This record gives sequence, structure tokens and C-alpha cells, in this order.
Amino acid sequence: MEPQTQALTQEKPSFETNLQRLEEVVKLLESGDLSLERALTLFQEGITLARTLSGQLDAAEARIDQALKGAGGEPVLVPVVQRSDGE
Amino acid sequence: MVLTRQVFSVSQLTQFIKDLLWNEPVLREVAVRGEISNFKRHTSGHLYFTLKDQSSSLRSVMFRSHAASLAFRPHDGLKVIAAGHITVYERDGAYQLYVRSLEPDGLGSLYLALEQLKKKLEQEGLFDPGRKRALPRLPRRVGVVTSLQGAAVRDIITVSRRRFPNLPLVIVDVAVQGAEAPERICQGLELVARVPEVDVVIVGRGGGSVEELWAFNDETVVRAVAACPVPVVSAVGHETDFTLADFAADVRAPTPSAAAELVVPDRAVLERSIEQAAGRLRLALVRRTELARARWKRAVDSPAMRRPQDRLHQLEQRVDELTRRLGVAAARRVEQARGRSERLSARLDALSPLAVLARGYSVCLDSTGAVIRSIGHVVAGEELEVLVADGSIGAAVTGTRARPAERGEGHGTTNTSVDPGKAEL
Repeated sequence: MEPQTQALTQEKPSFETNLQRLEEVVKLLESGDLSLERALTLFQEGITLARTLSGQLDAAEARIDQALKGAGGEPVLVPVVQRSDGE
Repeated sequence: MVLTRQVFSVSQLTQFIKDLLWNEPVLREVAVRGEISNFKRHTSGHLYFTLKDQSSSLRSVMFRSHAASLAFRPHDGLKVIAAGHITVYERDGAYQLYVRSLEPDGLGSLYLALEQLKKKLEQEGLFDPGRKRALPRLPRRVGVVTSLQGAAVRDIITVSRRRFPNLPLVIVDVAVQGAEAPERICQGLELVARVPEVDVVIVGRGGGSVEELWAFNDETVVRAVAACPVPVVSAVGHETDFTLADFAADVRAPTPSAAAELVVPDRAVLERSIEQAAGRLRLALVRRTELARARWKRAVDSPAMRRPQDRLHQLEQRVDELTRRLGVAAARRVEQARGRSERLSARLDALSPLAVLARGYSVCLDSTGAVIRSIGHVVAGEELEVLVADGSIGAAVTGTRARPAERGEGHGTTNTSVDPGKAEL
């Protein structure tokens, strides 16, 4: 439990955070009253963010799992086999 | 007669009546409509009250074991339908209704209970709009608490795959109807929230009768929804079905499909918004650069920047002009000086003793070179030098003669008669 929560808090910024930052960067850059150096830095940051965001869209894994209660009460994931004849 | 009469003890008679009542099937399973009065909740948990109508009353008791499952709070004046059996309370010799179930008359017990629970949870703030959390734009995993056998899970999977094919789903298979359903749903919510990366949960089921959806009105389920550490979208039944879980959820979806639409982002839309943001970035940078260029150009062309040069030109011109004027002035001064000096030398010339000598005058000097101004200055035989215009003449004194008395003070002069004052000028 402990290392897991730690891993969670040390995670990279979420899609949410990145998208918000990108929107912020775009607005800042569009506002126009920035030094040219600052504008360039922001532009680079924004482009990097856009790339990261696209990567995050691809990062997800097309899985359907079922969560079951494991031995210690912790959730255990097992793949769900989708029945095509389930209709 | 009397002897033949059968005499009962009170207990025997009471028991006889009791048996009689018990043998009547109608009274063993009876439902009575009436209004509650003299309602008392004993510390033991048993409920005592009287059911009344306009003309009669019926003593009733509901034991704790049954009262505990009441979904509403009975109170005086409430019209109810009580179900149970009639039997005799031997100690008082009174027949009573032993209530097994109690429901409000009119509204239907379920709805009254629902209203009461809703009011209670509302007062607790469970449904406050301020508690509602925003759904994540892109959940890393979507939790689904529903029955794997139901239609809801199929709909959710279908919609999810259409909108964002590679988004992972984590399903907890739970019973969504029946007596066990509330507990199972609560456990499912608790479990799914602990799966790492589950950022949002859909809880619900497909359409069904009011009874089939009832688990989602269960207080424990409503509380579990409200307590879920990640946002919850409820999707119970059809659009017209409302459950208390819907009120506690962060978002109520009219159907499971709609829940999936809300929770699973449309990948194409996200991609577009990222592209648009990147496009705006590029455009903004181009604009910023153009702005900088324009400002630079404006600055370079500005009078402020041009003025120093202009000023320099003006100064140079002025220096030239002054130099010219200086030359003119200086030349004029030189001319003036020359003229003045010529005039002066002319005057000086006129005063020179040599000029006097040139006019025929002469000056006598003694042997020491002193100018002789008086006859007393010389003695006979003394040698003198006589200066004339072109040289000097050696001479000797032969005698002296005083000039006859003249007007004025009259002072002796030599024949050379020189005005010494002037000559010395």
C-alpha cells in the first residue's frame, strides 16, 4: 500500500494538468505583453506540452478488467473476456 | 344447572379466546388501515401505538426485530396500513395487532420512506451542489460498478470503445437488485476506488421496475456514492428514473450509455483541441515576433532615434557658420589695428626730433652729451657737438650773449633755440 501511494503522488502531471497548463500558455502567449524571450520559452513549453498530451492519448491500454477482492482485501485485476454472443 | 355449567378460570378463558382467534386464518394474516395515535417508542426498541378510525381503535405493537427494518418514522396522525396478526395479550385481556410490517397509507411506504430519507440526507448536505466534483478530462481508468450480466455494462463498453478505443475500463461485478444488492454495490464502490489510476466511477444498472432499482435508494448506497474518493457518475435505469444515488452522485446520467458519453472523452475531440492549442501557440508566436519587428522598426524610424543625427548636422552647420564669422571678424580687427597703428606712427613721425632737425633746427650737446639749454651751461672755449639732420658738427664756444629781455618770463636760449620739451618727445 505504502509504496503504491507514493508512486501515485510522484506521478507525472496528469492529462488534466498538462491540458490546463497548455491552455494557460496559449492565453499568455496570445495576450502579447511578454518579452520576446519569455514568449519563446512559453512557445517551447507549449509545444512540448502538446506533444506530451498526444502521447498521453496513446499511452492508455485498451483493456477491460474486472476488479476482484484479493487475498489482503486489495483489488486484483483479471481480464474480462467479452462474449460476442452476449446479446 | 349451575353445576353443569363449565366454569373457566380467567386464564383458561383468555387462552380459549386466544386459540379461537388464532384459528381464524383471516386474523393470522391481516392488514388494517388506520391512523396512528399514542405512538410510543420504548427504550427496548419496540413500538406501541393505537390504530384508530372514526369510531374504533385497535391496540398495536411492533417489535424491534420488525421495527428496525422500517424505512420511515411512524408518528401520531399518520395514516398507515399495518400488516400482522391479531392475538390476545393475556395479561391485559386485550386483543392486539402484532404488526410485522407498516407502511404509510396513500403515498405508498416506499415513496414516503424515500422522501424522508431524501430530506434527511439533504439536511446532512449530501446532495449539496458544492460537493459535486468535476469529471476528469481524460481518466486514466474508468471504474464501472454494475452487473456483468446486465445491459448497462454492454452499453458502457460499446460507447467507451467508440469514443476512446484504448481507454481502460475496470469493472466490478455486483448484484444490482435483490436484498444483497445494497451491500454489494457499496463494496464494489469501495473496491474500485482503490484500483490505481481509476479517476472516475460509473455506478448503475439498466432499466427495471421501481423495485429492481430500489437498491440505489438505499441509504448505505447513497452514502457510499457520496463518500467515494473519486467522482461518481450514476446511471440508474432510464431517463425518467430518479434514485437517491443520483442526487448523491457528482453527475447523474440518464442512462448507462449517457454515463459512458460523459465519462469517456471523445478522442477525436481531444486530439483536435490539442492541435488547436498548438496552432494558436504558433500563431501567437508569429504575431509576437511580428509585433517585435514592427516595434523595432517603429523605434528605429522614430524621431527620437533620428533626432541625434539631425542635431549633429545642425551643430556642424552652426560651427561652420561661426568659424566663418570668426574669420571675418578677425580680419576686420586686423585691418582696424593696422590702420590705427599707421595713424599712430604717422603722428609719431611728426614728433620725431629728426623731423625737427630736417626743418633746419639743430641741437647742441656738451662733451657729456647733455643738451645745452642755457648760456650759463657753457664757458668760452668749450667744445660742443651740434646735431643737424644729416650728422653732427664739431664746434667751440667763442662767447655768450644773453637774449634781450622778452615778454614773459624770458629765459636764455642758445641760438640753436630748440624747444627741449618737444625735442625730447
